[in-house]
Amino acid sequence: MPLVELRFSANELELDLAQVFKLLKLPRQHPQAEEWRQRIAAVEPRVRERLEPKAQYRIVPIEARLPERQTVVLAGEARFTGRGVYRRLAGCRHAAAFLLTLGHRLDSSLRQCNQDDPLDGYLSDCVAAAFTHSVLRRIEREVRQWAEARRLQLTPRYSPGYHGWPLQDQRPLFSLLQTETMNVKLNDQFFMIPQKSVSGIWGLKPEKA
Amino acid sequence: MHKELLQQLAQAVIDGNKDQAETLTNQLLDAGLEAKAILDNGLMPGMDVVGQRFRDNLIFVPEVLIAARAMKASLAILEPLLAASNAPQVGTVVIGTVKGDIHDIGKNIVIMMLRGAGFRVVDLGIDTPAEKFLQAAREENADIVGMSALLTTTMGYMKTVIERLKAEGLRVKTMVGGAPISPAFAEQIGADGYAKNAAEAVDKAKALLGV
Ligand code: B12
Repeated sequence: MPLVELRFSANELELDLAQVFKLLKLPRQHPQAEEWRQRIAAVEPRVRERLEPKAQYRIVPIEARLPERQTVVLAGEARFTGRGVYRRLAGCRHAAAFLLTLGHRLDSSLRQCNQDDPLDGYLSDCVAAAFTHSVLRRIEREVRQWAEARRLQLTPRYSPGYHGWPLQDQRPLFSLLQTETMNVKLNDQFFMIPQKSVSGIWGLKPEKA
Repeated sequence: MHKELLQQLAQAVIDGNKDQAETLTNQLLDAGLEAKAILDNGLMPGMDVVGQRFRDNLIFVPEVLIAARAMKASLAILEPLLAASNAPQVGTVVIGTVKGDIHDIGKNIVIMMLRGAGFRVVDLGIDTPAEKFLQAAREENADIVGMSALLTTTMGYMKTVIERLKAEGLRVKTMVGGAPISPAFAEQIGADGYAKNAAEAVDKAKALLGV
């Protein structure tokens, strides 16, 4: 399947307040929940203003599994290696590789904000992270539609750097996409720049009868 | 009466009540208490409680930041007075979060406390490469180089910095901290000091300089 690019305007992304609370690790029943809500609302416009959300995904066939190396070979070009990713993709015929970013402008603004006031900086960071979730949900919706039309179901989302899938595999994952048009790069520790970017996969496997 | 007001100030820090912290600080000064006593017996104990509650998972980062903001507001009133009474300065600390790491909340609290205690602190910010530590240590004539790391993938870099400082023959003490750092790790990488929180960082820095 060809690569799919998604573009959004900053204003069409919804902010999921429950998600922000979760990221801040504040219980919804926090005694000062209302004050926190107001603080979040106060930083939201500044974050939204600087969003340049972009996303990309590509659904590729899984061509081989090499048990002795715990490796999965995709579309002939990329190899994912690790106990976790090997297991997660068991029984899958396809994988959907994705990358999303909120852009460079937000990064520098978050850094500045953090210096001006660490609390606002941290709140802004969590608001931005919640926006990445909104973009994720959009990508997931499309991938799910494609899968359901073929009686396939999605495995839980998974990213390099999480348990059982080394961060180095950002490279083969990036090779499946066109990261230049997204303007996302990896640094020498395999972290993504801009920072508010998320990459990963869903496995697609036949629905159980 | 001082005691009660100091307790209230500690509580204002714990609650993150910035206005209250400012008011109480001014009241205590008006009542004739010295800035240093307000710091040691009001702000520090308050922040200690906050740090302990954070480690016990009773509160979370946003609440730590609110408390830090209240503390900062009070310190802004105290700092000029502290600076005047502390001359000559206790010593110079050059501090930063190491390369590859952007966590700076803890480091910034440490800076606040060190400044409050009369240290001159040069903040190198986040994602700091070894060269920058070296250069600043030299140019600022630092007594102590402080390093913060919150990631298991970046804590190893502290060793690189310490080795470079030694290789260049710089006579500075080194002090490390951050959630994943243990005393054993600090020793293993050849750091002169480790502290698990900001109040201890002040004690450790003083001990390292023998003041
Ligand atoms: C806040 C936070 C963030 C914020 C940072 C905002 C900021 N401006 O700092 C944001 C959202 C940006 C962030 C990003 C990331 N984070 Co983070 N983050 C945290 C979190 C929740 C709290 C850290 C904190 O501020 N603590 C509060 C302060 C007050 O405590 P402290 O830092 O320990 O500092 C005290 C002491 O350690 C000591 N101290 C600190 N420094 C120094 C220095 C000296 C010299 C001395 C003496 C003492 C000292 O005194 C301080 C005050 O008492 C922790 C989880 C946790 N509960 O610790 C994860 C955590 C550290 N993050 C983690 C991760 C993985 C990341 C990311 C890689 C996530 C990602 N996939 O993008 C990125 C890292 C990007 C990067 N390159 O650094 C992991 C690290 C896992 C690991 N084993 O390495 C943690 C543990 C979360 C987790 N459980 O997975 N993070």
